[in-house]
Amino acid sequence: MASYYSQVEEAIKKNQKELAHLQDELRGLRTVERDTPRESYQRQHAQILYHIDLEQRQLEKNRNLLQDYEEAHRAITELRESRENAEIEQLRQLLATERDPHIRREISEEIDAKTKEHESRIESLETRVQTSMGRLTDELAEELRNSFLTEEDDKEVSLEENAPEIHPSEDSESIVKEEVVREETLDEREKKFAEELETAETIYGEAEADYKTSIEKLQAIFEEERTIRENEGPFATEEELDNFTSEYMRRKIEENERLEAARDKMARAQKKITSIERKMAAYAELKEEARREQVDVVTYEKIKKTVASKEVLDAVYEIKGLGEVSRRSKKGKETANEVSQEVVRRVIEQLRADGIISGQNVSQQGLINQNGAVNIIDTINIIYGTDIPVKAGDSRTITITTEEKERVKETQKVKVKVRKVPHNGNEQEGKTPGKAPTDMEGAKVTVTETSTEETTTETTTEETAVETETTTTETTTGTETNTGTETDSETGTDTGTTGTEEPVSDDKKGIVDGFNPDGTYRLRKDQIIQDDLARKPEEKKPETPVKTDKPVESAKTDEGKNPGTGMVPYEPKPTGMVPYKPPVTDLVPAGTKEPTKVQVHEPVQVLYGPPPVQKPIEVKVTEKPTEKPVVPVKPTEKPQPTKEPVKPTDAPKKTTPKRGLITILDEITEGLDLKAKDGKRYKASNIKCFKGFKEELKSGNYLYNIVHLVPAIVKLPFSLIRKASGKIMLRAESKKNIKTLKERISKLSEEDLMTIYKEYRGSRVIQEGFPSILNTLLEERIQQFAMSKVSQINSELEQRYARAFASIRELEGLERLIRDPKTSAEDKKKYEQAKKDLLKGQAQNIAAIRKGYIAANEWMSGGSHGFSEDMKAATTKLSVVGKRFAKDHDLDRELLHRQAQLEQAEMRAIADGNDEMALRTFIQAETLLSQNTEINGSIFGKRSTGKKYYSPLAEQLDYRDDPFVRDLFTTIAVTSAAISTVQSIKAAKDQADIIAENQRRMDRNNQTMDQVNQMGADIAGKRGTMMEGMEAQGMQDTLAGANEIERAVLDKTDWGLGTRAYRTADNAGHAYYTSFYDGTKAAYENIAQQYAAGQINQAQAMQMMADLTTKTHQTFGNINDACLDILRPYAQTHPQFDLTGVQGAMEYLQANPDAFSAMNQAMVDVTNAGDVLASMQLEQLIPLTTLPSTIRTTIINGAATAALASNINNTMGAKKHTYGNDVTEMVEEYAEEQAERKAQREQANSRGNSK
Amino acid sequence: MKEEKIVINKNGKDIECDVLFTFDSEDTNKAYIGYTDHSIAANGRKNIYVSAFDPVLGYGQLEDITSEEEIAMVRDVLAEIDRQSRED
Repeated sequence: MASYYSQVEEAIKKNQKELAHLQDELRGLRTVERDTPRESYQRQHAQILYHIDLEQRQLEKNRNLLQDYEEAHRAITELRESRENAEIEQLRQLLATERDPHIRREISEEIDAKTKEHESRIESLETRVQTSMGRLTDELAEELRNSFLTEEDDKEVSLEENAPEIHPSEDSESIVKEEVVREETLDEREKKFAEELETAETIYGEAEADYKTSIEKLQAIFEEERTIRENEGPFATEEELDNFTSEYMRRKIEENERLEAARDKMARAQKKITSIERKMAAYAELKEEARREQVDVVTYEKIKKTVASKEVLDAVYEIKGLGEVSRRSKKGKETANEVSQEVVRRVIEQLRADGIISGQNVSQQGLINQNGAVNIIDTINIIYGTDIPVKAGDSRTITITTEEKERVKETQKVKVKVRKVPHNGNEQEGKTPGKAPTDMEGAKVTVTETSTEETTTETTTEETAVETETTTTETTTGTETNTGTETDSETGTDTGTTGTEEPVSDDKKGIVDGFNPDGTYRLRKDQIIQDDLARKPEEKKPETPVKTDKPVESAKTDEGKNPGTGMVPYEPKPTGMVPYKPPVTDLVPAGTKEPTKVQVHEPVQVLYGPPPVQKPIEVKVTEKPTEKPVVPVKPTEKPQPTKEPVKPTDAPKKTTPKRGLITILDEITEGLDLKAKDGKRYKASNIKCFKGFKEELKSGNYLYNIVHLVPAIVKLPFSLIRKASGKIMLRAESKKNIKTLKERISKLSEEDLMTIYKEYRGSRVIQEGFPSILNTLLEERIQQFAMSKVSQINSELEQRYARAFASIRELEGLERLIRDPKTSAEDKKKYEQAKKDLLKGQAQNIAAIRKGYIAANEWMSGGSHGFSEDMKAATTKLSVVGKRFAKDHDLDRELLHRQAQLEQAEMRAIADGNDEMALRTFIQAETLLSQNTEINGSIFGKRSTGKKYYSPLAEQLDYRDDPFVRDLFTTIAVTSAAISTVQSIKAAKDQADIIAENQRRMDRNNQTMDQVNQMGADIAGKRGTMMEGMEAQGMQDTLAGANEIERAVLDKTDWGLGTRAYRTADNAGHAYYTSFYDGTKAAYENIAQQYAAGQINQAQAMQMMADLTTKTHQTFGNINDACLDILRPYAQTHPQFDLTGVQGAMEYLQANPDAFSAMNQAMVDVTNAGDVLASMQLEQLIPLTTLPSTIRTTIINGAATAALASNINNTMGAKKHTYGNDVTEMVEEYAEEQAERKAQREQANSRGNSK
Repeated sequence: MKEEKIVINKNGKDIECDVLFTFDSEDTNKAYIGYTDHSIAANGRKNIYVSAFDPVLGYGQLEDITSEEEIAMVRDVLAEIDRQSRED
């Protein structure tokens, strides 16, 4: 199998090829641009650009990957080469021999300085290694790691092989015995692989079981929570709900933690299994190769590893003329691999020819030395085909000529390092590489002799240099990657058992993958890599100890044997030198790191409490009404006189000055961290964006549609199984702040509220620049405050109206009695007096009514802005308020004149204190208005269709409070969901096998079924309603268009309301809008006329309405787009105005051009689907309860739609409480009485005339 | 972030989509994911699908986003990502 490095190289070539191809395609497309339809061209162009971008990014990514690999390789090589510092070693040697204390101190200081410098360099290199490895993919990192680990393993193998050292004095039987032992060792190695594999598989199985259990438990928790919520209904208190939610959230998180842990364990075990299997395969391959070469596997492995050593590889590369760069190429590696294999064969042949390899025996001489290692120098000799003449002298110091040494040096390109003591007693260090294959006799030396010689040779002679060279060759072996063979198999077990693949606990590893306290997710990849690099030196078996205080002779005794290996430790002669200490090479093991703790915060849910309960409104009546009617008149339903007037209490004298506006605002916001967007819109956190998307955005090549009704998901990426960020379940601080602020505002005194009402208005709101949530809550409270005032005034007005109308009835009764000829003079006098008493104070009462009405209106819509809004509602007739209440009639001059006469007469009477005149004109004026008021039901609810809209009490005509309108537009939003419901129901019908429910649920479903049937029927019967709804929507769009034009005009003229530029632009805008409105209105009327004439049926009319509404919306969209271009730069340069909401709304429309047309079509479809709902059977519903939650959700949405349709039906059919109040009823009743009396009189007159 | 894929069923066919972004919202206690099949709509714009999912369970079904508040938030997130991409 090709290495990952090679695969990446291949991928780069493929990317380049594909890029060239795409460029060709692009050029081709551009040449035919004129002949291609615009839309098609743009689409193709965009697609090719996208693919080019994709390919380019992939190419960059692959190139970077290779560069990172090279960098990581260099960094690790440097790190390894830097571990030993020859300079410090030399200084230590000097220190050991120096007697002068001053010089010794100087040397010590220098050693310290050099050591620090060295450590710093090592640390820097370690950081570089970690960084560069972190950038690699898992596969490449592992490949690189393995290449270095192989070389580490080589060293370990050497150490292991030291154990069964063959002493020269032993006979051939011992050698044979040793071979048997080795064979057994090999078997054990395979057994060890098998055991490890079994262990890893067991761990995987256990983890998998835990994982499945956790999933089941989680599902059970969700089901349990859902069941409780459904069965036990709403919670009694907020705390109860909080506790419930928190408890289940906690359980979910805990179980999810277990699930995550099991999943990680599975992943680790899987990695371990893969690693072992790979090693087993490599080892099997090695054995097979050894079998083919008829060499025992241990010998074969040594030969292969020797050939794979850096020096030999360098020689191989040199033969083939491969430089530093080309040798890393795929071809270079393949070439080197072929040559290396050839070298292996030649070495084996040579060994066999020399009789060194005989059958399965291993010689201690020549090419294979005493410890079983293959001599590298000899191997190089074999490669070059010439011998380096070496010989062993009497002093056992082997010499070669200077020329030969230089040749070796140049060939090997190895740095010369001074090293006085070998790593262990069995290395080749004091010994020459032995004789060349053609002259092996002179190379017969023993290990002990060699070692002794080595330690006693402390000169700088050429011989020592050669020794040093050889030593260096040994110690630096392996910085190059092997030639592709899986020679790491032998020592791979160490990695496997102690490396990252071991499923150690997180604590032990010092790594906790998961969430950081800041909510970000911590990946483990880098840590794993670092662990491997860091742990390896630590895990190396300790090198054979070098003891300097024991004579060599004792080596043959049992004393002092290494208990682990049975070997006699090497003991050099005393030289007075400081014993060699291997340089500290260990990186800081990752296991020493403090494990990062995962913080799981309890979720906090804050619910808003109910709005503050208002105090009962005190009813103030300043005048006591007449207690008893003097004459019998038709009693009014309201118990007018029973209420005792509440006398206004004297206001307490203020001892402290009134609090100012800013003081109040300061107090209510104290300690609250209110953000600009608090309460405004949902906030996102923990945003993570994939690099490719960012780059695409940056390129600016695309515009996007946001699609939020998505297709079915088939497969989710595993990594999405992640924990929630800490934030998501943590702070509800923002909500708490709002709650606190709301509470504080609700507790404000009347005096404070009055201050805010009067002072915090208009431009002051903008000047102060408070967060919008403060404005929102203040507005809410002030609205309550104002409405309580209006309510008080209305109560008073109601009382005064009652008095006035009761008085007029009494008055008329008294007058009838006075006019009656049967009444005695005495009684007449009494009635006259009663009349005077009755009329007393009436002018004052009427004046108070007029004044109170004005005051109440001011409370509701005071200020120039309110005035402007009222005018807009009345004049444009486009807002729902306007549509409901504004009149669209020609001016009735006669009516107006009559009104004016009554008004003047009333005012004159009040001024003159003429109670009777005041009362009579007042009653006439009110009756006139009432008689000209006509209210009819419509899509807009009860609508005023008369010439006047009589509203004796102050009314808040706010469409936002109109439940019908709210329902109407919500209905539009959920109709698409209703269609999904019907489709789900149809699908569910076929799933008869899942019909299994208990009786209780069936009963409940039966009830639901009835409701759904009824609601379905309602929906189907509400085509007309939907049509009107669409018309309303279309008209709303025209209004919104007008508003946007106005906004754009303001923005364009820098909000210079009075400027000429503003007026010009405003006029142009209004002209456009008027045309827009008139056109839309005419189009709707045209459809209505066609329907009324029977030219089209209702369904066709509805479809036409939908199309027209969509068209209207598109026009609106165009206005929106045009205005947005003005608004955006304006918003950027005018931070003092918070235009986020406006801009957001406009951008939404721009981003969702099809949303409204889809909704309109959905309305058409849903009314057709209503028939299905109406005929739906219980059997179709029952299976839904067992279906996935998504389908259940659609059912709920469908039911909601049906419920809304029902609401619409109720609203349309309702008669009560849609217009007027007790006073209007009273006036209507009086007017009807008057009309009845008039009719009776006329009838009597006509009878009299006929008589 | 490492590249991720998601498979959707569109017109009866399984289509592999690239995950573009993810985010959470403490207002809704949900996590969200944006992804694309690189399809170009009739208006010449690229379609981005956005769905919600339970961040605690993680592997549950993706949910449609239906509320205007959530859609507004998605738009905010895209604007933020766009802003960041220009700053990078």
